[in-house]
Amino acid sequence: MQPRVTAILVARNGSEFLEHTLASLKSQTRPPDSVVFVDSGSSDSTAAILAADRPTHLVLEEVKNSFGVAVAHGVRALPPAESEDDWLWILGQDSAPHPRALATLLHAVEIAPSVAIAGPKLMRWDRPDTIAEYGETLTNLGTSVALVENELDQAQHDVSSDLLGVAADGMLVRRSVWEHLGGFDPALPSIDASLDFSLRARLAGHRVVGVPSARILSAGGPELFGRATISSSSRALLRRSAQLHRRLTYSRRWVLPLHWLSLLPLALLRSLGHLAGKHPGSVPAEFRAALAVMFSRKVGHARNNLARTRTLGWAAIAPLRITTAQAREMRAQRRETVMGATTVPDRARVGFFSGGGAWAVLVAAVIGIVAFGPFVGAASVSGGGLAPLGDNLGAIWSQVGYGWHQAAGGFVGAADPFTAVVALLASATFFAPSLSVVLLYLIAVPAAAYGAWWCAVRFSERSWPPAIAALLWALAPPFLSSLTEGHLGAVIAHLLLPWIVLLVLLSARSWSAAAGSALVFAVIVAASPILAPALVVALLAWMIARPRRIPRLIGVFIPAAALFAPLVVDQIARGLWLGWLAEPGVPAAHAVASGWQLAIGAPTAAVNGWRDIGDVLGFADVAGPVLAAALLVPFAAVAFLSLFLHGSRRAMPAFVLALLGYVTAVGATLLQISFVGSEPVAVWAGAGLSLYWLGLVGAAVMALEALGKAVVGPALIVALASTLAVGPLLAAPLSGSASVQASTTTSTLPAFVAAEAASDPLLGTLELTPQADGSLSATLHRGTGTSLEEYSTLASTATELSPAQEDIATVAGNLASRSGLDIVAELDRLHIGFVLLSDAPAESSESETPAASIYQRAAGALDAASELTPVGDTTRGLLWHYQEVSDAGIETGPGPTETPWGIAILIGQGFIFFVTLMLAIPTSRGRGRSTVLDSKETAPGFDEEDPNV
Amino acid sequence: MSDPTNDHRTPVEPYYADFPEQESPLDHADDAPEEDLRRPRKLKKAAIAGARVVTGVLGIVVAAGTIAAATFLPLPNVESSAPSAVITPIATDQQLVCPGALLRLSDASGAGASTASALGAAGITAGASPGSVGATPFAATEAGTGGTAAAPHVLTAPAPATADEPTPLVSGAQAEVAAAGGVTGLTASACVVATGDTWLVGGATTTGRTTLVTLSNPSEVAATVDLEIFGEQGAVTSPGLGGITVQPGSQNVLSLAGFAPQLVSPVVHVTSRGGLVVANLQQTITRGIESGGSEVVDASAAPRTLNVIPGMFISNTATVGSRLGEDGFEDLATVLRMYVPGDTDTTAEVSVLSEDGTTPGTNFTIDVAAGVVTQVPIEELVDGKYTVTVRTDQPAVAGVRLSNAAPAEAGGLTDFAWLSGAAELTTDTLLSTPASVVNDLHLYNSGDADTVMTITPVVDGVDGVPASVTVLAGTAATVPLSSTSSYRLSGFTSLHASVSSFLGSGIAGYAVVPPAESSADIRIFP
Repeated sequence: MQPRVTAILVARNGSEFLEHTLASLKSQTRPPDSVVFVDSGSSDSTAAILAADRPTHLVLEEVKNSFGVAVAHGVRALPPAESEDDWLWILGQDSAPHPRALATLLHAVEIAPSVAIAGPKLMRWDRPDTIAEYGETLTNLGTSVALVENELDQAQHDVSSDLLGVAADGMLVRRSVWEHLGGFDPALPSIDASLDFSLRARLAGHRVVGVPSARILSAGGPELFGRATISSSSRALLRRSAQLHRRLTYSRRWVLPLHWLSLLPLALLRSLGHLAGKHPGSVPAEFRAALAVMFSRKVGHARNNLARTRTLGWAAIAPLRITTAQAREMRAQRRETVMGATTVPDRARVGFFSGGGAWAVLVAAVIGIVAFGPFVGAASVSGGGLAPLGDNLGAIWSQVGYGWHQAAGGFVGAADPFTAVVALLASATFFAPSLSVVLLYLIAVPAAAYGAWWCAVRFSERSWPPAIAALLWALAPPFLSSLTEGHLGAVIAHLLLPWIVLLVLLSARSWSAAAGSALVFAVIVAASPILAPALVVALLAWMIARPRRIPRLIGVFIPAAALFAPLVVDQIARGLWLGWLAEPGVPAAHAVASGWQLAIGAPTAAVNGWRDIGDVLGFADVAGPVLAAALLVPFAAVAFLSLFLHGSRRAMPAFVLALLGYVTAVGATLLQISFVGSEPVAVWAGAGLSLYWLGLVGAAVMALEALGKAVVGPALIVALASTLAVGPLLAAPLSGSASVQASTTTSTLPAFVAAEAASDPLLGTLELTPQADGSLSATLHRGTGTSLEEYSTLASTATELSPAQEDIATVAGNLASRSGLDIVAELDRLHIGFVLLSDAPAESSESETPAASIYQRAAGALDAASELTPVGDTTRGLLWHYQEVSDAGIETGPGPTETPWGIAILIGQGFIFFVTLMLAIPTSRGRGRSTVLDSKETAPGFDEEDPNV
Repeated sequence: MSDPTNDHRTPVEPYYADFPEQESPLDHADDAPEEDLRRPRKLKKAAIAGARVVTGVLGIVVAAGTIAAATFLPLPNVESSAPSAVITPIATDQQLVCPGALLRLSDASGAGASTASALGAAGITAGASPGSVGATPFAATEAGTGGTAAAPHVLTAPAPATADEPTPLVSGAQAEVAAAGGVTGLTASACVVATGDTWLVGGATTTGRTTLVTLSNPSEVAATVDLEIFGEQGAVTSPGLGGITVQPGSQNVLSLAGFAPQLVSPVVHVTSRGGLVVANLQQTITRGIESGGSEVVDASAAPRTLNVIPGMFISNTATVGSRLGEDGFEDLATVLRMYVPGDTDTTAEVSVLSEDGTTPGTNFTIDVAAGVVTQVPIEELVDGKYTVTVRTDQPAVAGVRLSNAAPAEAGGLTDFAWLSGAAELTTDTLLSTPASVVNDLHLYNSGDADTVMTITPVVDGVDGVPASVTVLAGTAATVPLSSTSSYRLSGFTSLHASVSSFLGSGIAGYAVVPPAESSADIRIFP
């Protein structure tokens, strides 16, 4: 008997495809016997086009149903089946069959009566020589896999074969089977619907075959039904929901509860996998799918339906399934094929070793080792803004988070985010935490060169510009000033600034880079909070200029925000809105630089050591700084030249960065909210100047790049002059004029105190420092001295005294006076074993200044106190020992894990950083390459620019 | 199905005619026809060059403008002030030390030149406002005066019973008329608080001039004292200058000649660690067999750029002038002795100002080398009371020696006095006057504003009738005082003061010291 075929064409908003689909339907060599068109809630002219084609039946749906439901409605419009040889040919709006497609399909089913479903080979609409999809199957764990996907058709699959499932598009299905099985599962709106249907047909005793000689052009899977595009997260949601639905539907009854219970834990585990695999968009889908399936009523219906129609055991389909290992291999092969076929060669970039990068780093390394040679073999570096780290890594980490801090007499509050950076740094040399800072000093200069080279090479195709950029960056005056003045945060920021530029640029095509830039941003801002406004402005501007980057980059602020939130809340609660911008570390007084001094990269009025050079050589005060400025003229000239040369549009972002950096530096000098004793201290301008220098070096790279072959002369002049300009800074550690000094101990207090504190780490030392106005500053150190991680900006920016500080003030005031206070009781209560009177300011030691007289007064009063034994003159000043200090401990507050707040903050921050880290760890094998799809974004440097400008 | 791209959905012309062999339209995507754009391109190039010049100039202008604005515009600081607490030390007993009687380096028989002994005893006046003062002699001294009236005395004013009561002002003074062992003259000094750092300007170790250093330690711990002696040749090096231990409650006596013989113009810097001491110089002069007088030199104010020495009373200029020519009487001359610590030379502007404004003063400028003692005579003054001010660029210490010689018909005795630089008084101050002598209070106002001072006699803690004294800015004044009394000075902002004493031909003087700073309020920045 001649089979009777009803073509069911379902369309929604498919007017752009329909013309061709209908034409090819009409040109079938074996036309269908009847045609049913279903319009599923289109809003365009689809219904009209369909009606104009005069189908046998036209079903118009008001609502937007899934593909399967629409097909079912189409079938329902038909008169009852007349025979077993009634067939349905399911087509989508974008399924344009080859003229012989139906004939071939029918031929296949006619010769094998057991076949209930025959599927054609789907070809890509835009590349008809490429197989879009041919055959689907399941792994033994239930994941659906397309057997053939996106392969060039070389007849390699043209063997008619039994399949587990075929795609819905172009599926020829026996109408009786369709009706018996109840059509597609309504719980599977698109993905896996046809696979599930085919599987149920198989379990009901029918065969499913693929017919490779029948070809249908398809513009996409069923998930694209009625829409132009689908986001990867929506696709992930559909896939995962379908898989979980099928898992619950197919499982045996007694394991069903186990499956149900495993849904959420699995979602959590798989989310981690998605993060590591750089698909953060799939994470919400994972949970939505799990929750949707957990509370779905359709599972029961599907299970009943399956139980009703199933006649064979699961073993019947086992040979058609593949193992997970096979699936993994298929995926790997497919990925390789895609890459092999589509990888575009990277732009010709110079190599690190072949292109002079290694030389630049080597030169920087030599300069760094010579300059910081005195630090070789030291146990710690301290002075200026730097103090040694604690000796115990655990104690360092316990300063992180919300809890008790020893500074300012002790308080409970949020830690500086910088503390976490310090703790991380200390972990690198966990056996001697302070050593990490020494090592950082030794490698800082070459490390800066290394980072700058890799960043600059993004903008350059020649050898000279990146090499010069590496040297300019490694020998940047603000960087070396930060090193010699002990501003560790600014040093770290300088080392990381090139990397954040690089990562932000790379994040266009890499989740790893996007997450990496978020981490680097957090570290930079933690190390130098003053950079936060400028970097946020720069990143926002970049996102506005490149709106396509927003999804990847918008999260770049999250880890930093999480890190800073507790501190910002604490500071705002005190009314200090800008308090969180204070520089972490040891507050160190310095002469604030003026506007033009900042412009030549000098964070202090010492003008990078040139003021002293001027004095020594007998120049006037002005001559040294002017000489310094003159040496930087070639660099500035080259940087500004970039605006006049080819590529000037690329130089503009660099100048915007420089401007932001300069404004930050000026702002830093105006922000005087921390204190050393009675004196307000401006935020260190070096970090802002590093950003300023970054912009200038970037501009210089553009200029050198544009100079082409004429680059050598200017490059050498710039390098030489800029190196000379930092000569005094490089000589500072050798000559001992740097604020930072190497030390063989990790104590900042006299050796006598350190020896006593070794057995009593909480032993207090009250340090009294005469102030210029005749007052006295009192600092209570514990153990071998306040270590770097114990300093807190909450303490250094406080504008009101805490009760603990008032206690210290009372003791200090009475110790420095002839007083009737019971000193013994107070010293015992505060567990103070030593009193250290720092030397009066040197310039006033001989004169009757207020500082000198307060020094005399304090020294006299302490000398007269019979309870105190004078130890004598130490490197830090006069020392007195209170030997009979009681063993009673002192009160401290809760650690970071001992308050609910502390735990919540640590968990919250830990979660965010863990997620970011998972995303940041590079897992893709194709790192550094780009695919055809992203190839628009591989232009050098700031992409998408017009090379003519 | 898992193809992550949607690009192939772009509806393109389907290519059925030859289904499998068709070319993809993408193959032609790059074959855009080459256009001949030579002329427009030239224009475009010119436009681009123009745009670059504009952006470049604009960039330079913006950069220069920003730097200029940052350099020259007065930008507002975001500044907060450091938190601090003013601590009032818990009141405790106040202690002053009176240096004790004149000593000599031999006993009454002239033997035992290495052992000091007392020539007599000093009379002590002490006062407190409010409250009372007790005087206790040192228990042990090197001069063997321990426990006697000749010993240094500790004046103790007990702390107020409650914290609400004010801390009393305390003062004391001692005076002694030497009349034993061939020594004559009047000495007077203030009783002061022990300190760790004392400058003494005075003394001499030339022939006939004996200078002893007394170190009195009233505290409960031993003091380790270092001496620095400077002379006209610079610093003196000698064994034994450092590490002198002064036991608690004891007084050490050292002969300056033992360290530095034949020194015309010594200046002594005393520093102590451990306990604090009161250091004085005792100088006696013997010219041949004639006593030239005696003096106890009090501490000078710490080195400063403005030294004020009020109370230089010049008398008997005719007699002094006539005897000055005699051999060995050179040190009857009125001299100013200065010392600049450190190594920066300076110039001193010396002004000698008449206190009553009736007699002419004198002004001169002199170069002062650092590290050596400079001594210049102050000549051509008529009888009168003067205040000497010494302005230097570098901190200096200064003292004045003046002499008196009674006319032959009045006995012909000579005496001398050392006046030290007076510290600035800025708060209420109590002073005491010694017994049985004629006393004057000399005041100098170094400030820019006239000041009206109230002076209130205090006897046994009871205030007497106050009087007002106006001291115009930059001028000096003299107020006669009765003896054996204390006076509270109040109501002023800045004064330098000293007390001068006479008895017959004997002259003496001492600077009024501010109340002990070591128990004043103190500002602490914790």
